[in-house]
Amino acid sequence: MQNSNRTVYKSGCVGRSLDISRFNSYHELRRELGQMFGIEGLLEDPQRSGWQLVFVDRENDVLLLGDDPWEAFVNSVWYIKILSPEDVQQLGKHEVESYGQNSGEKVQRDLSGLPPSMGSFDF
Amino acid sequence: MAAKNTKNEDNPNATVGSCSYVKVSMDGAPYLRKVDLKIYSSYLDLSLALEKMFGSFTLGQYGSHGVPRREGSSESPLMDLLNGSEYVLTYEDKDGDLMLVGDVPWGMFTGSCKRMRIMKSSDAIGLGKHFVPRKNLGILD
Repeated sequence: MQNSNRTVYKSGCVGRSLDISRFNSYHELRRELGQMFGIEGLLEDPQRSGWQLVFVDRENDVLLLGDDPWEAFVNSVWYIKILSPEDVQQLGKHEVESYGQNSGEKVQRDLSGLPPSMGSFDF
Repeated sequence: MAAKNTKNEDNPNATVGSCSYVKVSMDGAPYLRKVDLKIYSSYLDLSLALEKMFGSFTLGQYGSHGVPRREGSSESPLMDLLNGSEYVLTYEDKDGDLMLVGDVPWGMFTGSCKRMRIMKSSDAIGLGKHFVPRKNLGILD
């Protein structure tokens, strides 16, 4: 893979970049991200911790990290975002409210309208 | 092992081999999920899985964790969830058309489903099973 560096965002933090080709599994990636952002242990069990890892793919969809086979993920990931439990709540709330206002526009793809506390998806 | 994504000339998004993973979106949910259609054997199977994945996003409507099922209205828990709610389950087929899930035999569905969308009913106009979205809702891009 030519450029295997992928950006990782977390609201309130400076963005980081990592070489996705260094990893062979989601588990390895989660562990590294936890260490990078000082939230060790919080990304391995989203059900319990409430922290979610999502990523944006080349079709500009926001997906939960982990559903795809690893290779498919590596081939489609554009950038990754770490969501705290508060972020998840905010994001869901924003999507629901915006959806009502926009009446059918593709809100899930329009990430530029995220509240400032979410950090920026667009650049 | 994951299937390789190989483009062909006619459709750059096509994949060769058994790529059975499809995206599932739900209007208003913070992120999409992906499911492997190969591992389910029926609409019931699929609906159980989708209910687990997306049930929590409708907490506001039902007010309790784990979304209680409605009384035996259909054999599909997700359809129960959706019946009388503001959502319908749709999919994009290989012709790019937006279709209601459940009409065709299961095998036919898995062969032609490219993506699924749990959609707000208010954006589905038309009666019965054939409806047209009010706007291009992005699923057909």
